[in-house]
Amino acid sequence: MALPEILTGMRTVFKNVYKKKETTAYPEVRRQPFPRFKGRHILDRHPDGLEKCIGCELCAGACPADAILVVGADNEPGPRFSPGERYAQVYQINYLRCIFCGLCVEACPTEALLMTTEYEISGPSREGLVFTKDQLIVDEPIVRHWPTEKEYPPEHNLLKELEASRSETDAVGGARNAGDQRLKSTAASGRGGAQS
Amino acid sequence: MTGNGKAEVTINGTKVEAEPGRILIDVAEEMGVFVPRFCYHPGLKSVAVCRMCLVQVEGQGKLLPACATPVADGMSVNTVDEQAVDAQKGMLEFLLINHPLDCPICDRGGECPLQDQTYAHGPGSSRYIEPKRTYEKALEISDLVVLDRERCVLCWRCVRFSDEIAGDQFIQLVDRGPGTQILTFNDEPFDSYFSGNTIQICPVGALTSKPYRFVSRPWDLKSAPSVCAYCSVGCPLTNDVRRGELVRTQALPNENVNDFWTCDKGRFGYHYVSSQDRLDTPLVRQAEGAFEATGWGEALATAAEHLGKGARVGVIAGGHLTTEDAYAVARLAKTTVGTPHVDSRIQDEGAPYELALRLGSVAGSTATLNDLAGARTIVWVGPDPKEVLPVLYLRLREAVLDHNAKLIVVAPRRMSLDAFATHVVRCDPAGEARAVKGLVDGSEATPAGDVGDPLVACWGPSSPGRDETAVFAAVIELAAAHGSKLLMCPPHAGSQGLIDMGVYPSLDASYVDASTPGMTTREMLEAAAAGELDTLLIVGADPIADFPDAELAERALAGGAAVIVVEILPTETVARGDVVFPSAAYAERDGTFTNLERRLQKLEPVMPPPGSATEPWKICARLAAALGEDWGWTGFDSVWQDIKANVASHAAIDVERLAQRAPAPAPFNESGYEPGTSQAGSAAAGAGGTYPTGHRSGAPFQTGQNWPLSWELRAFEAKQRPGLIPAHEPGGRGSSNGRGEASSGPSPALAARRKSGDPFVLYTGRFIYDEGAMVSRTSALRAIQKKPFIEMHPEDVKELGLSDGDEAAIEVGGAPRRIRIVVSDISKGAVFMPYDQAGLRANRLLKGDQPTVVVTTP
Repeated sequence: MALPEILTGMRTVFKNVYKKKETTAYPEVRRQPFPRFKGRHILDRHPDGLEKCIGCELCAGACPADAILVVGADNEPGPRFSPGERYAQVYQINYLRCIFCGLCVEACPTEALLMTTEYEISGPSREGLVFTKDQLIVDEPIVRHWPTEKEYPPEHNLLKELEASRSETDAVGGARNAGDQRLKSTAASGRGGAQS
Repeated sequence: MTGNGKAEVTINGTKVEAEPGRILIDVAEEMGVFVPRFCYHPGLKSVAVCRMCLVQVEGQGKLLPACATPVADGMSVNTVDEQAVDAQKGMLEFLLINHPLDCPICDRGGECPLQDQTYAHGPGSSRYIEPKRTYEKALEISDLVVLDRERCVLCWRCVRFSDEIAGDQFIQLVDRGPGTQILTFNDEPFDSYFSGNTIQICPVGALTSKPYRFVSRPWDLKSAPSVCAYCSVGCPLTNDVRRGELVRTQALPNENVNDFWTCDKGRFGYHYVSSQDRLDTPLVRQAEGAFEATGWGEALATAAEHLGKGARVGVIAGGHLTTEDAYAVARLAKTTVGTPHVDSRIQDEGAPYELALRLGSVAGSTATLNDLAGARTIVWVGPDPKEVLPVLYLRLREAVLDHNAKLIVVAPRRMSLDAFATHVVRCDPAGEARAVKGLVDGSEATPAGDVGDPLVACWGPSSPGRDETAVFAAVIELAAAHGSKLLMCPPHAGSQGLIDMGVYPSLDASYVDASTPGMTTREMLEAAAAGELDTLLIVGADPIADFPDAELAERALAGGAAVIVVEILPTETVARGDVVFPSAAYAERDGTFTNLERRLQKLEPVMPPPGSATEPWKICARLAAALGEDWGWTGFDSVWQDIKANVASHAAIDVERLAQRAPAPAPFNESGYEPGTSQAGSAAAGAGGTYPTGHRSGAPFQTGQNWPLSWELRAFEAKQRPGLIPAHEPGGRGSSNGRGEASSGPSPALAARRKSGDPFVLYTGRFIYDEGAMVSRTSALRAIQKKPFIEMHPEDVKELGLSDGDEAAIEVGGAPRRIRIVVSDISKGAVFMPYDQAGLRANRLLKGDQPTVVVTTP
């Protein structure tokens, strides 16, 4: 009497037994996310090395989780951080709060804030998950796989100024994790590599 | 024309009544129709240069600017006519041609009328593809103001403000045609006491504040209405806080008090609130002489021990206390401790405020600031209002220039008012009373018709050593002779409240004569120095910096009396204290300030005080509890219940109305958002309308993304905390105590008495940016502080063999000191020295009744 039901049930079972498994043996096997997966953020640079971030706080304003803190400051005469008047003297993203919605990236008027595909964001302390500017900013401009209109004009080369400030940046910055290193290696072969 | 003489106007199909001749843009705004505008500002005269407010008026061939069109009967206006909207769109497209659109880095971004109106009325895109006009960005035209000419839309607001309101045209349009730009002259700095107002009224980000530059975005700010804690004009302000730090204050319009303006001291002098120096815990001096931070329990117990000495306790309160603090201090001293020795006059020590009772039922002004505009004659006998009461200076200027009042100034030195005064009586420092009496009996020759009714007589304490009693008595005589009103100008934000609440040796609360008059500040300090007082309780005062005899103050505090201090900052008085209680600053507390017209206005807290600091009234209540008396005060409201029960003059004050905002126009649909349905919040119904709430604080009063209006309209919305003036009755008590009659006889002029080589009579007065504990915490204001100088008569300078700008030698505390001479219109034989200069406090020189100074060639 119950045979048709049993057969229907078992059909589902056998169909799935031979299907390719969705789960992987993380962390031995690491899945490559899709290119537009929204993971950990980075702050990009201009080809001349200046920060694209102008400290406008629009990302912080757009953030529905209140995860971003930016404090702007005036670019002093001499070695500068970003083109124009303003730069971010404090830039923090709190990954305990971030919901990876990407509204901050949409809000960014200079395409400075971007999201990588890196998803391994965990740590032993709360403080450690508030990423600061030196963790977020990349050393070299990244290479995009999409066209952009908002690059800083290449003729406006402030390399010399940058070199002076660069030594300090290196001291505190540097690639802290795999995400940055991956971006760095792609950058070396791409457009940003021209100035390295 | 309707029966009541009003014009009937149809705006967008709705009929409204308005006074004929009113400006169309105002009438439309009142009925909730917002006409976009840049150059129009309700505080300035219309010029119609931005052409943004073009509207269709029936029967007119061309569009008319609503800001320059008076309404007339039968007028039919359409502000949303296709032609008008097209013109508005076109104007915005033109204005944006040269606008850099650097909104992300512009401090105005997020609260910018140009942004808002572009969203609401502008075209979606621009057809302009050519290069934009560029200028050097971020030009620092003063230590307070940064100019970006690229962003300017040439609305002239700043120029008109400087010309019409402040009267110092430091900023002007230069060049013509497409090169027209706003600039200061020949790289002269924008050296105005009112420059901050141009930042606030700039409809774009062309003028921005240097101290606030890149500090915050408007949507991060939490705001609360408050009242300026500096002078006694009491300008309403908004305090903006980001991440627990006070980062900006702006003027709140109140047409009864400050119109739309405030001075730069009030606007930029807020840094002390978030200063690292703030006292945040009670301190008790240990046996070995060092302070130790303790808990409240120990500090209160130690203080109570010292306070339980009855009439051997003296209480000195400073001018920055609120009305509630004043009541608490008076109650603590006069009832709980049981001492009559209470005074609130420090720099103005000995100023006879109680003489005002001869004119009316109050020891305070009977005139309001609005009475100045209606006066035929204003007589000013007091300090330089531009330095001491800057917004009162604006009101006086408005009365003279816009309302044709005659201004008679009696002063021993040239003051800012002389520029537009009708008649200036230059007298020597001791001759002010005689000069005022001359106005009463006509012996002082004034042009016919200058002294007429209605007259407002203004008096304020100006210089230590001036015979304030005689001067004030003469002013009252003048006021009485004309049946006119009196504007009494005590110096600080809380001064009038302290008098009202009886922090005064000869008056109890509600101006009742004290049964046993106590000692004045000077008498208390002398008694303390002589060891006749056991305890000095000093609440929010710094006698060493402010009292006109620094040496006496130092001797008093070192004189063996226990010194209990309630303060916000570590002043020199705190350093000499035995028990110190930390107090909350004005942005951190509820309270009311009583301004010079006796208007109560409410402060609202926007941030918590540092550490365990708290309001002085709470500290007084705790001290009373430690002395075994429970006042049962739990908060602001319960303090006011007590005040209303015990202070007759304030019994009728409706405390709830103080915090209320009167009905405001509904939020305009300016940014394309519907009122009350903003992105993140819902609407909260408050007094006066519906406010969109924010997701961060939930408070109805908040700037930022949840508030879809530009600052200007928010300011309109908040315009209506009009404050309350306690009622008073005419008819005074007569001169019961017989004071103020002595010096009516003529005395020879100072120049005749003084022989060559004699010391000069020293005359002082506060300047706007001085070394005060609060204002000196703002580095920008410190930078524009004047270098120490003295003012002298040209002949006296010549006699010394010196000239303008030379250095002279004076003796300060036994040590010689060089100081710059400024030749000025001051009576011969007198020297004027600003009160609290950097590195030179005039009160080190002030001694005795007739302070003098020896000036020699170095």
